[in-house]
Amino acid sequence: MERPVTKDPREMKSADELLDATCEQTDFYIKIAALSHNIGHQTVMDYNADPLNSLMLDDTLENGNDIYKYNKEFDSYLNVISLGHVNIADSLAAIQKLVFDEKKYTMDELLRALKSNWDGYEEMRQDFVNAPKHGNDDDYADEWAVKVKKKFWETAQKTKDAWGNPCTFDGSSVIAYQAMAFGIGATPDGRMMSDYIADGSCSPSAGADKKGPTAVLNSVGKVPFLYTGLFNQRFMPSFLEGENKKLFSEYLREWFEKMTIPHIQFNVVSSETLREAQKDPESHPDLQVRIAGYSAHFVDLPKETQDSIICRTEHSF
Amino acid sequence: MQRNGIKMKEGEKDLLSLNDDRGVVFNIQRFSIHDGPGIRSTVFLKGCALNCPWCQNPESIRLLPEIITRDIKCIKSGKCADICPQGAISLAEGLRVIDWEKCDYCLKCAEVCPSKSIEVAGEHKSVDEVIEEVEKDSSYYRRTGGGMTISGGDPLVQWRFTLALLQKARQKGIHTALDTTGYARWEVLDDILNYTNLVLYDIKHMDSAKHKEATGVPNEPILDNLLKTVKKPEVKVWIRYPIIPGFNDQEEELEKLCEFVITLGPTVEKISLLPFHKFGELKYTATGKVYAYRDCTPLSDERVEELKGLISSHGLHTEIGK
Repeated sequence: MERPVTKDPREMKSADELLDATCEQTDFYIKIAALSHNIGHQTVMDYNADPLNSLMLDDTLENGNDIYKYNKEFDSYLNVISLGHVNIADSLAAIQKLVFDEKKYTMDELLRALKSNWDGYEEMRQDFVNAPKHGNDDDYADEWAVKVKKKFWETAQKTKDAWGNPCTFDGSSVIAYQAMAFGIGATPDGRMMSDYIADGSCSPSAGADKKGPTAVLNSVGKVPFLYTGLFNQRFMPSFLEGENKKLFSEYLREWFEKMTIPHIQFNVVSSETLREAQKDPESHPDLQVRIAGYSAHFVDLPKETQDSIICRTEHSF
Repeated sequence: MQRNGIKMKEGEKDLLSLNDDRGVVFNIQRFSIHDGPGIRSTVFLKGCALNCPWCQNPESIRLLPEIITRDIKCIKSGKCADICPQGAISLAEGLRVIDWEKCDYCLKCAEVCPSKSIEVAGEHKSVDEVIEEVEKDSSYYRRTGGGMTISGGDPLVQWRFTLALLQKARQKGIHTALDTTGYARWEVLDDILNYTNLVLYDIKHMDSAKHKEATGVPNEPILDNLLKTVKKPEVKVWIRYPIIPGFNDQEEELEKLCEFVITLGPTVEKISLLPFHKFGELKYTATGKVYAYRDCTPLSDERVEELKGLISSHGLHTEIGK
């Protein structure tokens, strides 16, 4: 298998072309993942039958199937963890606006700026930081988030596992937004090399959402639920006190009844408390935080993870 | 007159009631839960006829757009200094320093600032633009009994625009609240109240001379308008009383307030006490204004509770607001 050669971005006419090229490259890597997955799965089937777990399923006994043999009732076993799709959407929105619509910068300049990690391009970076961002209930950026999700899903569907079942994405990337970020160069959403990418897999980038929680919920709700995703929000504790509880429960109902986002994970703790706990861990042994897909004691987390949770937009009022 | 370092351009007062189609808006705050019931969107309009030295939104007092700065965002591009026609901006070690006396609000520096370290507070917006943003959270209003609140500044300064916004919201079935000083001709307020479900009505002092000394205007028009407002059975009223240390936090002042409020009747649902705080302090520096309350100590929570108790003892429903 050879890596596809896609068009030089300097010759592209729109951010859509860039998205297509990104998907084409992604497709190549998904196929490699599928290859390895299929070989691995075949090996497990041949040499590692699992009768105990197989008993837990409905029709394994009737059909004489091991748990690792494909059952058409199930989804594909082939999942690719998705990461940074929100950064891709924000990047494409910024490129479409600044490079293709307003023509304020050329693609060549952008490539040079990214290669140098924006060093010497701070003014330019500010324009990319201040371009429309997903999470503000603004269709310009939100439509890119929708487009990215759809295109990536279509891309994954092109690859089949050993049973002919299409691959899909899985957004339960948990803490990878942080670990993987160290290996990701500067991005056109204004992010610097190694900075965290958007947490979860559908939360807006930290600090990019400026219009409060309802705007975030509306924005995220526009993106179709084609594969799973983690969505984190952080509230001030006062939002769950007294009369406000009713508002919070209605906020949840709006989400539950109208949105296709499968879950939201809340942290209800102020930045102040988190910073205090960072400084004085011994006095805060019980402080629990939701990271993404799991909870942990705040004081036990590495400093980078603590910082990234403090960075998440705190909805106060 | 120059108070708080706020300058008025010549002829600016004539613009005080712009027109009914476009207004100067300095913020539309979604998910606002302190300006009336439920989840609301608060539309902040620029311009206030009063000039209270404790104001927490000093950028709201002047009617027309002005600049607001954030030093931490400055990337030392020097572009603001280059473009300023007044020569009001100089560079000290790369960081811009603004001579606010020279600034004449041309806003050119904000236009060229690459990092939003200088921004414009106040944007001309049409009724439809504002309502479009407000409607985005309609679903939350319906669920929580929320809606749109118009605040400021004082929305009665741009009263034609305020009226148009309220009419449009009413047409769309959105609950409307007005957060006001009550300082206007009665005919203006009267008309506006026809499209208002709830008024958050400020009382700052019961003594007119003291009121004038602090805010620049006497309180008679305000109290007269309130007496007329409460005669409208369909308009609910929440009295808002900012407790300013040394100005109106004495027990006898609160007694006078209670005596007055008791006569107002059933449309007054509660008194919200708004304890003085200094969260707005940075905005004074950021807009080149002088903060006269810099050294003032906010009241203790216990004292605020005491004052709340005093009002409750008159049988009035009261709460501590934000």
